[in-house]
Amino acid sequence: MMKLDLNLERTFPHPVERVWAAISSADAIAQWLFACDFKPEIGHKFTFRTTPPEGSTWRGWTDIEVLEFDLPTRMVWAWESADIDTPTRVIFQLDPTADGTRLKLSHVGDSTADDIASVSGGWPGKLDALVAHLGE
Amino acid sequence: MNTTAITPGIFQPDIFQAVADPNRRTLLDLLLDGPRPVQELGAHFDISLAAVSQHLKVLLQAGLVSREVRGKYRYYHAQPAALQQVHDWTEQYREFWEGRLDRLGDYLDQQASPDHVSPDQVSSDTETE
Repeated sequence: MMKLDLNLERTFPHPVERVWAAISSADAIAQWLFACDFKPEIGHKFTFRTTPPEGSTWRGWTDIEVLEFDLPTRMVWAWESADIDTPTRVIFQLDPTADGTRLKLSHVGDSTADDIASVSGGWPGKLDALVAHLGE
Repeated sequence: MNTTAITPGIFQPDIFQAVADPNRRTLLDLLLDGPRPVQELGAHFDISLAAVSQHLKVLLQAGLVSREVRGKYRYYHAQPAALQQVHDWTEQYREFWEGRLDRLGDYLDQQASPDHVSPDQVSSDTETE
């Protein structure tokens, strides 16, 4: 087990509500992250699935639970993509700026080296996709 | 052999996206002939070596190639087994078309008999009509 402490930031030239809408519905999440059955409710559980390539050691899905949902600035997910005792946590924090919104995404906890490498390598591209989804 | 496969996880790129790009398909074609370093692969493209490396990264993340360190060079190996997913998906269309072609064959057989005379009957049955 290793320590995961990933902190990323992106700024958007859009009001907080618009960025919030892009992270708080299943349809919107599917546009930039993964298809899923997300619901904006504390305690709701959903799953991201992929087909692992031949010979992969990965099980192929990530279980998520909505832990916090504070409209329209903060959302926390319990994130479990490896067989670990305590899920890691993904924290979305939106803050208004002079000309738009800043998103801080943190992914923290203890997990396997493979899982940490995967999420650390994967989130930056997904946030770039969110920026592209919302338009410059 | 010191082969490095990419970290598995939900963020792994989709294999179909990986093969959607013509440059990446060309890279796979080249690697099917044997492992090669990026410098050698780059000679086959008009795009920069950095761009070729980027394409190789996508193939790595999709599990379609692996990387082996030999001294100061990184050799890329094709992992064609990963293409099984693509094969499985296209296979259903082969079955579909085979079914259609069987039906076409049945249709043509019906057309050939009994009112329609087939070519071999014509030679032995010249007096009809």
